[in-house]
Parts: sequence; C-alpha cells; structure tokens
Amino acid sequence: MLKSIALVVTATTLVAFSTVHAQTSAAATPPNDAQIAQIVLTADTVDVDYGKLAVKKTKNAEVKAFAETMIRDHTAVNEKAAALAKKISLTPEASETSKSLESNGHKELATLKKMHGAEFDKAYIDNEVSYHEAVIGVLDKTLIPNAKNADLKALLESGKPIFESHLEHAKQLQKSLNK
Amino acid sequence: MSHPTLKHDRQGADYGEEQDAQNLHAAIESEEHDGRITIKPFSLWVLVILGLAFFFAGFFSARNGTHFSAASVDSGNPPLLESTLPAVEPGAHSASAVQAAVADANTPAVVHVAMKNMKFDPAIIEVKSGDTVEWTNEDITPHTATATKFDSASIASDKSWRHTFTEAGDFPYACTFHPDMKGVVIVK
Repeated sequence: MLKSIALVVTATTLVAFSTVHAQTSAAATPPNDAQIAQIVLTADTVDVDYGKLAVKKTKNAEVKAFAETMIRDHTAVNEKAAALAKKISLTPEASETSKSLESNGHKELATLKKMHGAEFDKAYIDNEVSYHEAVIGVLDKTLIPNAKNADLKALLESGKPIFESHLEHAKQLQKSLNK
Repeated sequence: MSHPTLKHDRQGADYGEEQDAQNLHAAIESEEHDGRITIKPFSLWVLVILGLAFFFAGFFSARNGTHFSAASVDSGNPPLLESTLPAVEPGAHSASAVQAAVADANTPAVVHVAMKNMKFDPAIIEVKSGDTVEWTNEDITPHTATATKFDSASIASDKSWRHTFTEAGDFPYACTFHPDMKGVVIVK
C-alpha cells in the first residue's frame, strides 16, 4: 500500500514537472524566419499607427516632425522587409510575440486617443522611448540571433541603428518636454 | 536512423584510407621514375630559361606600359589631368603627386560622403572651392543633407545628391529627419 502511494506521488510529480517543462520550453521556442518577418512587420506597423495619430493630434512642431520621421522610416523598413520576404519566398507567420505586440499597440493607441495637447505629447513620446527600447531588446536577444536567412539577418542588423537613432531622438524630445 | 549515417561515415573513412594508400604508392613510384630519367641538370636549364623569359617579359611590358601611356598622352584628350587625378592619393609625396596637386588646384573634384548607419561618413570633409560633394544614401530610410546654404530635400535609399561649393567657409549641416546625424563641409 505504502509502495503504491509512493509510486502515485512520484508519477504525479513527474507529470507535473514535465508539464511545466513543456510550457516553459514552448514559451522559449525561438521564432523561425517567417515569424521573425511578421514580428518586424507588426512592430513597424504599430509605430506607424502611433505616428499617424500624433501627426493628427499634436500642436508641437518638434513632436510632429518626430512623428513624421517615424512614419517615413518605419514605412521604409516595412517596404524593405516585405520586398525581402517576397524575394526569399517567405510568408510572414503570426506568433505569440507578434500577437501581443499588436494587441498592446491597440490598447496604447486607445489610451493616447483620449489625450490632448501637452498631455498627449508627453504620453506619446514616453511611449516611443519605452517602445523603441523594447523593440531594440527583442531585436538583440531574439530576432537577430535566431534569423536563419542571411538577407533577413542583414536587414535586422541594419534596422538596429535606425531604432537606436529613433530612441535617441525620442529621449531628447522627452527631456525638452519635461522642462 | 542513426545507424545508416554511422555506416556511411565508416565507408567514407575506409575509402579515404584506401585512397591515401594509393597516393602513397603513386608517390613512391614517381620518385623511382624521376630517378631513372635523371631530370636534374635539365630542370636547371628550364629554370634559367624561364627566368630569362620572365625577365624579358617584365622588361618589355614595362617599356610598353610607359610607351603606351605616353602614346595616350600624345593622342591627348584635352582634360588630361582629370584622367590622371583619380589615381593620385591625396597627401602622397611623390613628384607626380605634387605635380597633380598643383594641377588639382584648378581641377574640380567630386568628393563622396556616404549616409550609412544613420551617420554621415566621413562626417567632416575638406574640399576646395569649385569642388562638388556627392551624398549617397546607403541606408534603408530616407535622409537629407541640409544647411542654411543648401538643402538636398529627401534622398531615398540608394539615391545620391550633389552640391558644388563655390565659396570658402565652414558649412555645418544635418539630416532634418534625424537631428543627431551631423556633418561639416570645410571649403578652402
């Protein structure tokens, strides 16, 4: 009897451990090239949408110029990414990462829509700082190391100085808005 | 699944060994072969003849080379100096470089600046009055080269824009899209 209880406990523990292990490994599964392409496209589109809203709402010339640069640059990166996907016959594929990027983007956009004037400017720029920091982090830790196709990897690597330039630009605006 | 691979590897190894043995055998054979023909004094002659041939070939090609360029000078395109200019590195100290530099003062040059990784490269350039600067966008995103005296407007990826500087001075400029992207053209 004791023996059988011990057996059941061991079995249950094993099952529990393996389930946890399966879950963590599923979450940490590196994205494939098709998923990486979709993450890039979604990340760019989200920032273009923030920019379009800012161009409509802001009265601050510097914030407007920044938002226009975001639209211009992220659209250019997206066009390049779409052209590359076509060239290497890669169909972008949704993943947990791209889905959460999209839903978080929609939420943030809804929040920003309710704001006006200086309050909007500050919230928009604060979000741009944290958003670009997050995107650079994902690019460094997940996208660049996991990209298999050399052209895709090169595109991601050339995207990095662009996002870093945007981050610096946003940080400078953040400082001037907080004065 | 792993067995066939293993077998394949082993086969490869066996084949390699066999081939090595064959090569070794062939090498021994050829050594014996050479010994019998006594090729050594002959190979010395071959070396001498080849050496002379190379010497004369070099000599004549050098002569022809100078002759050829002299001929092209005689037949003469009018902008002679322009054709010799790009070969001369700025700052070189040979007699011809000095000569070219003297001529350089009157010959407008095109100086290239790349827009790459969100920077102007090189960020600071020195040119002569009359020189043209060409900016080429090697990034994905559009850029501009904008100062109070000149403005490229948007330069798309892989496109270029030129501006000729006719007055001396320092011209700081920037990309209007990316304020951190700055450069200076110094016109002497």
